[in-house]
Amino acid sequence: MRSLLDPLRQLTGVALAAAAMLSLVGPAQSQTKPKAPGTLSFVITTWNYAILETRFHDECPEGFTIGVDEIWWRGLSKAARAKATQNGELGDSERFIMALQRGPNKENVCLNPTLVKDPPMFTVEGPTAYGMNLDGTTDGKATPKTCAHQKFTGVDGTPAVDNQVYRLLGCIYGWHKYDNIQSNANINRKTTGNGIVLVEVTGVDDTRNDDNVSVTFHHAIDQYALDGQGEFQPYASYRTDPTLKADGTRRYGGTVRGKIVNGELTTEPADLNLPFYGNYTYMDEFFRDFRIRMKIAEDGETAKGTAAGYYDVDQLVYYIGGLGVIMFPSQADCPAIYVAAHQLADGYPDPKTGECKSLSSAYNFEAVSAFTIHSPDPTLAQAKGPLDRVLTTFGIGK
Amino acid sequence: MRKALVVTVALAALVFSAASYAAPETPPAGVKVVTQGDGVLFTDEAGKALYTYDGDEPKSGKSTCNAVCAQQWPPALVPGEAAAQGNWTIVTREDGKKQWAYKGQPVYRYAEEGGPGTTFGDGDNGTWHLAIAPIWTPPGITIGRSVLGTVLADAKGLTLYTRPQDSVGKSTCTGACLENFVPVMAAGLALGSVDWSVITRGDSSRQWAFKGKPIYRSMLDVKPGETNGDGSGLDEAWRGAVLEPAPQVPAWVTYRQSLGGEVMADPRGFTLYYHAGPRRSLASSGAGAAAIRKDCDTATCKGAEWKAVLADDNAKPTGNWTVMNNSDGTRQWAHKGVRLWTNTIETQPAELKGLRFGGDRGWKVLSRGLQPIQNM
Repeated sequence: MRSLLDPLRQLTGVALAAAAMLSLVGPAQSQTKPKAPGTLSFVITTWNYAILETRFHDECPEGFTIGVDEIWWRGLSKAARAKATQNGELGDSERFIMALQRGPNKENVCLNPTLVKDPPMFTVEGPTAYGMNLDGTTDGKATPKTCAHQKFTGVDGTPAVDNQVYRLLGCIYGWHKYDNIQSNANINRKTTGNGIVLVEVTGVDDTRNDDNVSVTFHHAIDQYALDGQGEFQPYASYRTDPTLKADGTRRYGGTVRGKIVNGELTTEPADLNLPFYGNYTYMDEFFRDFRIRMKIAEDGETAKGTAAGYYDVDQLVYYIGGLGVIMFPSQADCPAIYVAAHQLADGYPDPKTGECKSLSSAYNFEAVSAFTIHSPDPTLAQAKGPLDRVLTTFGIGK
Repeated sequence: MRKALVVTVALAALVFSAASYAAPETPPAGVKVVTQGDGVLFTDEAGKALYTYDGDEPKSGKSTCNAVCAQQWPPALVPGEAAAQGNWTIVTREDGKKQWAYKGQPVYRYAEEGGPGTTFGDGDNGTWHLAIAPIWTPPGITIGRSVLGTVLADAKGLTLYTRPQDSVGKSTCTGACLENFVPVMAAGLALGSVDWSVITRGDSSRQWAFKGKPIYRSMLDVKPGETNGDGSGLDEAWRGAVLEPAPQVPAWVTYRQSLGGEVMADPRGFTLYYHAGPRRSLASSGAGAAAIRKDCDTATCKGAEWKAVLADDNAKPTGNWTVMNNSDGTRQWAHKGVRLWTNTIETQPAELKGLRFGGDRGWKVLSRGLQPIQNM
């Protein structure tokens, strides 16, 4: 990391020297110089489904839902239980694997959630949630882009909040604050450096109030910089991932417009692809109408906020279905989640069937300040020589 | 007192460098050597590579790879009445047989080796490595591995570089040339040895040179194994200090940055997978950890999710890349003896959807670097 910071330090030194020289010229001349727009960068350090837990779990009046292993266990006679578990000698995790493999031909019901029909799961019935108003309605009525659904009131009092992912997952033990699904995903990212998101804010004239900035969401290919205590270090440098998609466009690095008001950055809705790694799952997370609201600390070192957008049911089912024994202590049931997710989907109806295919969702995140190092454009790397690189850079002859 | 200290240090340095001048050891009976750029590779009589195992405690005088493990990794046995010599010692296995050990590490063959010149077992399970006596390097300089092959590296494993414009014993890199490169400095009392020498730069600082070529570290590299400095610079002249080039790959193989690191891919950029089968740790049974491969072909491993990487009639095997016949009559590309596949769920280049923790965890990705893509 030092090797990348050194040139930055050199540049900073040059900039400081230049600033000192300017100050020597005199106040009149320095006032006429417009201040160049600056850049703020943050690396996201924690990213969690925004699950609101009340003290007595009033949002789940019927209690938490039961998991795939409990459903399997309840379906067995005592004799069958004894036979399946070597008379009770098998451990819980081994039982869980058997519970997963209860398709008609011993298929894994998390990878094939339509093969069995399980009892419906409990979902959130409380009135309050984290999130944002994604559909623009006050009552959740159907629109050309959405299906009718129930709204929440935001935890900060914001009316008409949409967050059907919370309604789906909020009564599953594993997605609560102290269980493993969310914490394990964050630990995975922290220890491997995979799936790191960089937020780069450019065109910043004033770090506390600026009505027009650009916000780019990168994938960082460097590991987190941690201090001796294992805490995230601010002002570390991260290189961006220049990977292209099949159509030749950037896989990550989507840019949206935003503004900063009293140190809070908000972005306009846009479709966006973000990298994700968690619970040993690598995937792109594609969001529709994605936006963030991020409060930047006074000293600029840290930030925290909420992100929201529509998330495809298929993505969620893929992720949860692939968790395997990680889900063992979570009391989640894939076939029931599959059914409920489709029932609760409130965004982007299929043009043919009218069935909504996406879920409104919200995420709470934390970040620390960082430097964004732009990796070379891969199209440049493919250029053959210096002249070709120059031509490619300036788009000549393409 | 100070003079005495200088003399002592200088003598110590001479002794250290004298050791590196020693002629390569004669291998014992049953072992052959292949001289490479990065050292001397040990092979069996048939020219097949020998390996060491991380699970063996160095100089413990015993092997932990027995029973099932030894089926996959047969020991390099001591023929007849051959005796220990030099760095080669003899360990007695559980079954009483005698096995060669180099510098205290028992050495093995790999049962599924392709033939002389292949290294199918290298890196297997992250614990098996080629048995090699590396070339000597000065303190602070190591031998690293990168996509270019085996390279000189600094103490942190960061790739080192040379510049063709430099002449033997002289660095021409000054001023702007040093913008992204730093000379690898030699200590004041450092002495050269064999291929290593110390040159004096224009500013009187001392720089290490390998085979006469001054060496540098690149500011463009952050992680061990990176080679961002290679081909960089205004004149694109910088070159990684490659000791032994990376094994050849077929022309159709491409490389892509994935969420888990750089992967090998098909011409579309879609990730290449292989099925390594369940890997069982047999350590608890006292048999030593074993990596049991369970390859599958188009008949036994078929499924909607996997598509074989088929080879046409003109396909030419190269290095660790071979072509295997399937039971349905097709021919399939294989790497290190295991068939290659793409995942049909994936719709974009460099995805890793084949690695599902809750799915068949025998599927692995063919990563470009040394670190396997993690799927626990």
